Amino acid sequence: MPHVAPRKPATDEPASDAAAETRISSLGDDLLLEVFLRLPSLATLVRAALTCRAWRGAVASSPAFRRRFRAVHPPPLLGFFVEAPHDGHSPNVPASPPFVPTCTRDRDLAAAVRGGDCFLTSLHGGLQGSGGGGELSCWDIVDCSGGYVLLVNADEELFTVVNPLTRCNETASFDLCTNPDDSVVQLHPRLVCVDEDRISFLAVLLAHDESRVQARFFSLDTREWSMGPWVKVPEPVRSADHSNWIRDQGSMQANGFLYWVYDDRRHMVSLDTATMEISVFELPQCLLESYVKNVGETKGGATCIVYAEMLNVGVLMHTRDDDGVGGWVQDRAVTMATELERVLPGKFDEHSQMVGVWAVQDGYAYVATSADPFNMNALCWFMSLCLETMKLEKLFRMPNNVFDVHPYIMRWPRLLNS
Amino acid sequence: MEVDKGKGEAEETRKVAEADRDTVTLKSSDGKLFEVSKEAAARLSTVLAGMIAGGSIDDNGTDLKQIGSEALENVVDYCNKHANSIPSAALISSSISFNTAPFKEPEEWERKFVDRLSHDALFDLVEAANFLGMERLLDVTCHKISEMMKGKSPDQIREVFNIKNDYTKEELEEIRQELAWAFYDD
Repeated sequence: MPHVAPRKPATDEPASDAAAETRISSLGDDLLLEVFLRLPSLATLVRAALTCRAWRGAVASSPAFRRRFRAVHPPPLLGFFVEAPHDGHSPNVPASPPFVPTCTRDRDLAAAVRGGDCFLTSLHGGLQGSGGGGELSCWDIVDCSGGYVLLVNADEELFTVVNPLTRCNETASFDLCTNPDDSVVQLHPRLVCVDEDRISFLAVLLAHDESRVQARFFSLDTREWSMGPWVKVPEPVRSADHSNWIRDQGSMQANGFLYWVYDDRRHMVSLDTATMEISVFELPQCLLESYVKNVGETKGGATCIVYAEMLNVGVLMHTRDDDGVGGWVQDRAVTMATELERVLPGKFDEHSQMVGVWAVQDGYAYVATSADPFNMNALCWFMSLCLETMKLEKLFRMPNNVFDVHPYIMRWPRLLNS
Repeated sequence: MEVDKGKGEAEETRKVAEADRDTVTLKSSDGKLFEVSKEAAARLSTVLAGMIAGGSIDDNGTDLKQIGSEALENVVDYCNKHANSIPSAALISSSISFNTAPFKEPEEWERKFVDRLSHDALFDLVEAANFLGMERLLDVTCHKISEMMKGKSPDQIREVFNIKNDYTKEELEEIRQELAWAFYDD
């Protein structure tokens, strides 16, 4: 590595090395943290804090600083794991979900993407033994939460949780909950970060029979499955060819609640991950026509549903009345036609549609628009939509037929906790 | 209480009348005197504003024992430059916007002002700004130091500030395992 000389402004007094070292450390923790607060992102803070023990100690020992830093810097979005269809689950096709990094000029965020393991190579290294004879395994992404990724190996019915930013082999794997009753359908688990300080996770899945639902959760600490009570829920409108009346798609999560939508789009199941209590909401009429929707958080941390229909995007806000009964209220519905013309001039016509609301996080919805929505092999544009300004920003192109897109957000690392 | 308060106000009026000057004189720890616009000092420093309002300004030089002459010269220089600069439209309109830090970007002249400082002078100025309650100057100086840390690996930051790597071998190994990306160096 070339030696990078400290940038010294022209000055008459040559500062001696010893003096220079004591100078910045003489600032004291409070002023050092004032400097750190002005760093552009969490990625820069992590690198700066690791410089020496004192700096790391200053950050780790101040929960107040952590709160202030978070209030100023939203956790950085590093990119997206894309869940695309691929041929042949059997025999094992070596595969990891593709990762699309966000374009950034921030060298520290770029370092996180380049220096991390976003291709999840650790999965293949760690499982060669169990896959048999060094055969590589095929992993699909299921969910992303708290800086960790939940993946499934469909052949072995094995789940695993990995942190793409670490190089250590801390992969935690588990088997799906045993399900002796054939009439019970288990949906895919979702990943819930229950304690960011201790980095503790639950995998939560919803099981259902003809008329009831049940929460099943696996603690990655105790490594045991637990089951909640069966809950009778409003009768769905069933389609003839489907026994699954709850959609097993997306990873709708906001403010400690998980959400699942009925296939008939009339109701939504919500699960409070703190109490494991299940409730069911009736969805407003405006969602009946909308295939694509997602639940997440606004900038201010409020829970909202973002849905799309043709070229319109609508936002519903979650409310609670005086009795604590929750409901959804339409906040706005806006046509994206002008915005699309601005970001993709001349590319859209009367056939164009919004084809996906893949995620809602930290005040942004991640949506897709296609000029050829019914051709599965055609490409759509993946974009971010700022929920404050309703402005679009195009990110990348992908086929219409992707199953899901999971934003990957860097979280406060364990080593910067006390 | 009523009487005391009345007396205090009268005293203040008298002192203000007595020291009816446009400038205040500040004295550094090493005894050097600096004059600064009273208006700018009161506007930019909560501590000096309090002293001016409280009448504890000494015409022969108000003692600031914690601040050396080089740092105090920079403080005074900053106050005078600030008094002369017209706030730009950008500075006024840069309200807390969506995805940006709630710190105002330094203005061009403020950038130039801190760019010419040596590391030591910069750190001294941070301490002086903090001591005098000069929020804006603290903001500008801390911002400058934070810029020196941007886009660098821990090794490179150590070199910039000449900091010793005092982790044990075991600690370093743990950090490199868990946060390998942070050491990525292109």
